[in-house]
Amino acid sequence: MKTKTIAAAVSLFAASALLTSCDLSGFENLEDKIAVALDIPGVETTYSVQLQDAASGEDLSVPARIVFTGEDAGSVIDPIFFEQISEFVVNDGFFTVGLSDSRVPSGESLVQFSIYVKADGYEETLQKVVTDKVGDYQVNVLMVAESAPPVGVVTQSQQTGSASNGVTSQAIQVATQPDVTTGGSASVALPPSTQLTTASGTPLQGSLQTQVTYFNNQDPSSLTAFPGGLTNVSAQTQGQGQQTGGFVSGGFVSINITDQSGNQAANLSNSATVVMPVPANTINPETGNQVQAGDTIPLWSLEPASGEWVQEGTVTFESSAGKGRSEVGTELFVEFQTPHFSWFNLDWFQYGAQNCSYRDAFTIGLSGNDLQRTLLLRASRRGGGWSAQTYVNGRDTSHQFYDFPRFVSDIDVEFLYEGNVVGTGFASGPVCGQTLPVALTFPPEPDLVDVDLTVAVECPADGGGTTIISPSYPFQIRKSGGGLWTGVSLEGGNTLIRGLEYNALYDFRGSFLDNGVPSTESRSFTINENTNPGGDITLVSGSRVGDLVTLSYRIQDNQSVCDKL
Amino acid sequence: MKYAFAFLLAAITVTPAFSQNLGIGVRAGSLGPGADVSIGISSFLNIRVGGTTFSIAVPEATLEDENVDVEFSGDASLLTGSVMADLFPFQNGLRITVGATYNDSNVSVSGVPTDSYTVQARTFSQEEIGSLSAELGYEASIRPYAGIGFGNPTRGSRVGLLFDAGVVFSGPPTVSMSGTGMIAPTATENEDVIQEALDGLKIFPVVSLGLSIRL
Repeated sequence: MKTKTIAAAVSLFAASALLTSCDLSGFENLEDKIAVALDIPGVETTYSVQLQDAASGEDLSVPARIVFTGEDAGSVIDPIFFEQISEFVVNDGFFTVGLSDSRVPSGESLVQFSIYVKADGYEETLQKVVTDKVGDYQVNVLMVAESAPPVGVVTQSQQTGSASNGVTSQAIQVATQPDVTTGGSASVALPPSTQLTTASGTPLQGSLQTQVTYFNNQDPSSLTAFPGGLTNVSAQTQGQGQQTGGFVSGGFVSINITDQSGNQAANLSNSATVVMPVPANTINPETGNQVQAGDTIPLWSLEPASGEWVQEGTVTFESSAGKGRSEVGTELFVEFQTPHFSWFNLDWFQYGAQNCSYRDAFTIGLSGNDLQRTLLLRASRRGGGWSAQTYVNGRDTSHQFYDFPRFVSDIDVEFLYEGNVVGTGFASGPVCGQTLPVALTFPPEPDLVDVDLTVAVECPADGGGTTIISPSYPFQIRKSGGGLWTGVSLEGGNTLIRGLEYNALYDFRGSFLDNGVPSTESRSFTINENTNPGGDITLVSGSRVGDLVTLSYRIQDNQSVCDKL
Repeated sequence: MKYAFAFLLAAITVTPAFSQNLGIGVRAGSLGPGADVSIGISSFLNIRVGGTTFSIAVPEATLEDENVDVEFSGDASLLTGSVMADLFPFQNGLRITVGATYNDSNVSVSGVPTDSYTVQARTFSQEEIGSLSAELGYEASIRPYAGIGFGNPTRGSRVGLLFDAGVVFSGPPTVSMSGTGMIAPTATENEDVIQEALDGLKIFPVVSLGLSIRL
């Protein structure tokens, strides 16, 4: 009996030890819990492009057709799938493209291409992109709304009869209202019975709409919205062939005649007469003095397919008073005949030794951007004729302008953050080779923290289980409710963002090409270690130590995201 | 545990006559092959000192994923030492064993992709995808053992059969994972998941079978 009792006790002890000491529940469905996680490397260089209304600064909310042109257009790719892309339609004014890793930008081998944009209700435009080193760039394309153009731009659109098999029923005469700054008015005149055909030869049919838009050469807001910009210009000159250089502007006019089907007139059987006003305080870079009647200036038109300006010829400034042309509104004007419609541009073009090259660029040195804010840089020549606007990445401590006329001098510079001017400078005299230091001062902001951000996307795998993707991709972030979008580059799903407001709600967005069409994924989250955004995004872990907040988010099982990664 | 220590105490105190009987054992089991030497202290008690060591290739396994299949291979290395008290409450072959083991066992595996990985126009080589490695083991330390068994190398027939079943109160093994290349996040992503499962394993089961020779 005693033996049996002891044996039973020992057995009970052994069984208890085994049963109470082992918990195998953790192994249940372990195979499903284990996931392959991938850090898919991104391309070395990306461009996050915002199409913005030039007057309001808001992103475009209408569909816009995008075409990439220029010498490196063939290297523009989908940054996720690496496929070459040449054109698409973007619906929300925001998209991201990449540069093929086989095309490495450098000072000696600049990457150059243009982004052509056409959207209903806006002047079509062209943005030149020039890159001298790898990185993630933000590009803003300023679009001029026909109904609300920026200061310095005037547009006039009106019904101008009809066309039958391309032949106009009446004479066309359209002039813009006077520009507020210069008083100038541009116009186009076309004799009756002129046949209008599209670039492909299709005759226009039915009612016609004629639109004339004039950009003056005085207001920075007009010059920065100037299609193609004034620096790094690719031009087909008369006599010197293709050259890259810079423009000093005498003004710009765009003329469009469209029929009721949207066909756009490109070629005319009779020449049209175009008149462009020129303010008397325009400086002629060839003489260094204000322009006078009898001075000449090259006339250019744009070849959209190549993004190249083609010299049409040279035109002569005439005196409005002397010619009895008071309707022009400025002291001087030019008048020319053209057998085709395009963008017409009065510019002195300087290149080669006349030009500030990459090697003797105008450099702006920045200090005080400790929180690495993305800044908007505006530079303009006192007296007009040249202006530029660009984003400056927060990591950059300098910015260089090159490929613009050596003539351009006396440049005012200002940096803006969230609409506030945070730094200004003035470079007097010739600026080529000059470095202008600008100290930035930001308005005080409450309880700023640095955020160590990790984002992973949990995607269902076809064979069951899960694939976790840590994206390497450019995104943008801004405080909810408005403000400037700031570029954020995730590398392996991680990035450090400086100077966010603790407990504030931020918007986060990325644009992906979904079967060749850009679509934007947006999420919002509060910068603290406790708030779970909800929806398909989960705060996996969060902590705050001093001014560093570490946040790890997981986007779960979202096919719309997973399909794009 | 109470019973085991009570028997051990009784055996030492109640049996002053010291026996010089010795026996050796060779065995194989869940701790690998090993050998030990038993000293018969009394008819109730043997003291046994032994060890096991073993190294074996881990069977290859493949982690299959929509995008990347990863093939794992590796080695398991077992090394234990032990000092045991075998208690014979009925003075026959049946015994209760308590003691301490030194366990320094670990499993080391590494995984490499079975093929290149293509996403649309992008193909990543196996080198770009990278590799994974994992170490699973016990912290080298002395841990208690308890079990039951049959066979007494120091008494009875010259050659005998040995059987043991018991547990080492080892605590859970720990896993450490690392990776290189694109697949590196898989290590950090899964280390906690696997460790959580392993945390339930607080004992190491021991089963062995062997032969003894009384010297």
